[in-house]
Amino acid sequence: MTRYVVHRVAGMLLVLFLVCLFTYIIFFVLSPDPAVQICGKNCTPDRIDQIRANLGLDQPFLTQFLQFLQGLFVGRDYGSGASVVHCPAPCLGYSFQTSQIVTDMIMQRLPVTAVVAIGAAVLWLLAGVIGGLISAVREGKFADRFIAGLTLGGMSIPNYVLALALQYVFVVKLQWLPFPQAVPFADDPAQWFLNFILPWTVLAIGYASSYTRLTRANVLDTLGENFVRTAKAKGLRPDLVWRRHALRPALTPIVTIAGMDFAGLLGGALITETVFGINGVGKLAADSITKNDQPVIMAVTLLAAFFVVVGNMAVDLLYSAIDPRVRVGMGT
Amino acid sequence: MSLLSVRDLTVRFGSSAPPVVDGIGFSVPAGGALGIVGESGSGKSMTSLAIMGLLPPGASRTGTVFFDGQELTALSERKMREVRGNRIAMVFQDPLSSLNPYYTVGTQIAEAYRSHRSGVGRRAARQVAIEAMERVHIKEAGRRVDDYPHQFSGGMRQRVMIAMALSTEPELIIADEPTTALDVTVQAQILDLLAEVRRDTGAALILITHDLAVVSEVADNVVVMRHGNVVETGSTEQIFSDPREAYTQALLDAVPRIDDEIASLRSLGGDL
Amino acid sequence: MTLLEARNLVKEFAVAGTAGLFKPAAKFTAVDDVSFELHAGQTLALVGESGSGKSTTARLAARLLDVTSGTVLLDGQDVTRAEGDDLLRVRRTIQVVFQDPFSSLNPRHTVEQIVTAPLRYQKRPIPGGTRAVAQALLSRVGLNPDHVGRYPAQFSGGQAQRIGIARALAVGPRVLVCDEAVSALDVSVQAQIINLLRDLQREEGFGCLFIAHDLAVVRQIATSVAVMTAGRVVETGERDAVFGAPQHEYTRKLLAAVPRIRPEWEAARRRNAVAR
Repeated sequence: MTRYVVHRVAGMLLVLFLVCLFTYIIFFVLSPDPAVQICGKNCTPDRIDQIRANLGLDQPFLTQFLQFLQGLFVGRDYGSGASVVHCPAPCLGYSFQTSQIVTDMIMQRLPVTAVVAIGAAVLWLLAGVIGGLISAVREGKFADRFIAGLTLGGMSIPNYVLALALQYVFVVKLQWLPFPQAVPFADDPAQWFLNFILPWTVLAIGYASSYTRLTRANVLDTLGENFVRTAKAKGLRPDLVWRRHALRPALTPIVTIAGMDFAGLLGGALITETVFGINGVGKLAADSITKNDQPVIMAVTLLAAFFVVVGNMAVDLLYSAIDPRVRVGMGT
Repeated sequence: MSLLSVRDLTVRFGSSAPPVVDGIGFSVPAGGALGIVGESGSGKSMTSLAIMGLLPPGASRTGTVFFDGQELTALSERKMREVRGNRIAMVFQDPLSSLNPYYTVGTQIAEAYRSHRSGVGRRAARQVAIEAMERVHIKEAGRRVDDYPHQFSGGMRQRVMIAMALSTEPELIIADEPTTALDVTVQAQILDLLAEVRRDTGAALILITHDLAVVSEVADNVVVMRHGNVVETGSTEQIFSDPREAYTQALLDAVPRIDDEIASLRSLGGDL
Repeated sequence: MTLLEARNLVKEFAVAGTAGLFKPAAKFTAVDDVSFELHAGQTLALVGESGSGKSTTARLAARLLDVTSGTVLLDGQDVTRAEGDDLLRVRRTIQVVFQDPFSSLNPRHTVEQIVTAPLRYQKRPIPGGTRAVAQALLSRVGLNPDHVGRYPAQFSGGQAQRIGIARALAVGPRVLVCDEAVSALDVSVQAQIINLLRDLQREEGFGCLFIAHDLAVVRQIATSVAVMTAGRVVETGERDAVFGAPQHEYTRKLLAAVPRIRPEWEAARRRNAVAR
């Protein structure tokens, strides 16, 4: 087991390193010269050179990349002499637009994104599993077909359409929800909570739809398994047949997929956060893209990759904890 | 009086389709061993599921099944559950897929026992599971009781299935192709085990199989099925030494022999 | 000359999940130093239980898998690493019939397309067109030649296996590998297919490598037998010698385990059948 974890962590670090390398190549080598951008309109060649030197852009690519990695792990200094600026680890550079430390920008926004992701995950898991169970139990009946229609809608409607539509209906027309305004949780918990209802719903609907289908398919597959027949042949009560022999095998894969989807969302829900004006990682990504703020773009890309990779590994370990076929026999 | 008696049993899917089991009847005495043989599509497996009241969705059953003087076909689902796995136990073909991969074999054996004995604690049921596993000759049962199905070989898994069936001391065991998925040396062991279990517990056995040689070794009486009908019923000796029906004769002619090459194996006209 | 010869075949597989970042995966030896000779017109049966390596051996000999070490000789020529045109020649000479007839027939192709596919893939001339060739093949395996336009799903299991055999025969192979070719069939259908294979072999004279776990079936069809367990051949010899006087303990154990109908019942049945 320990050996397995060590292997997984080593593999994960390798993947993250490659992600770093490729994002670095894309953003710092293939995009337009950031020094020109920072320098602005009244620029002289001397000034560009100086900016380049400060940012380390005059170095060869490999040196730049190593400096970047150094920044990530031990921090780095920008500039030289009196104008030196220290960027503590994990250093992702300075924003070209605001000159803030990128790591700080992200850390400020991560909690909000986490709140969005957690709320949405709770919603979609509840809706998806319950919807899928109803569908499976009532297979072919009206409820099943009705839910199938809903999930088709839920999967096909784009998030931004849904977001705008819900906002129009519940905020503008019916006025059941207040117009969203940023309030810290401590100041006004009620307003804070109401702010998140629509983003949670919008994010959850797409996932809930696919989870409904997945749950339905898994439960029906499991009910056709031979071991369910064995359980019935043992004379078990139907509720025990369901709980022990149908639900556990059917829901295990859903838990793990949920873990991965959740990890993906921690990297920021770009569209939803932008539409609802939530100041999270997703909105930061959107803003930095429109302003071509390369260090920030790169940082959010790396962050998303980090969560996906870590989430992936967490799910694998979780899976081995709940599925004895994976858990037992790994030590051998 | 016979332990199990099946009369005019019919199973069909939908009302218009031809029945998959078509008005069959047979009986098993207490402690007896009945073999039901037939090729695929003969309805032999449906017959066992119909007896247990475990037909797949969409299938319907008519006719009567008497077990120890009780009419199973008239029992409520709740009453039937008291019979299933308790007085009649089943052993299925593929032991790996018939065991739940998420639970230890001990849990699964104990589960059968606990659901039929009120007030049995976890620990007592575990002890029953260990004893059942010892009775089917699983070595180190006290340790292996906590292993999962995938940690056992095919033959050992089938022993677990038989232990599960045994734990409640049933009067009848229905084994549906219990050795078909197993290697021939393992098959011999499992057949020996089934014989031993019958000897020790006095349980009756219904063995469902396509393998005529297996039936000839295990059963006292044989039912030959084809297309949902009983073609012929008789003592094992009569069926194998003096089959009355042309189909039974043809089926026996088609069996390849291990001790003899037959110039041309007789084939039945059913294929083309 | 020996038609097909295997010399010291070894096949190792990597065990999934044992590979480290810098450490190769653990090896599982599926076939361990297996040699045999197959002559034209003869049937060599590889028998053994699951995991004995019999199917893997057949696949190595048919060049469906690459050996780890050892040599495969076809007509005395080394074809172990044959590529390109040489491999095509091997494919032309060796054909395989698989266990599950349905999963080895493309459900969206007609029988005509299926049985003539080997000819088309090997870009061979098709005298009289694919229809005529397909019809001739179907009659040879005892199927109605008018059914060339049908799809696999319209046939029974035994008929589907006949189609599989027809496809193998299309290129006029000199070696036919039957990998558990009758194992999935009902006993009556199994008898038909065994008869068919015996008749075809008599007419065509191909050598047959017959993989089976059912010793009674092997008894009906084999001229010689190689008994395998745990990747090795433990006993090999003429069929009647192996069945009549098995030398290796494993062979004896295997033979003893086979369920039998009592000989006295068999004798009585034959007498009764004659009397009737």
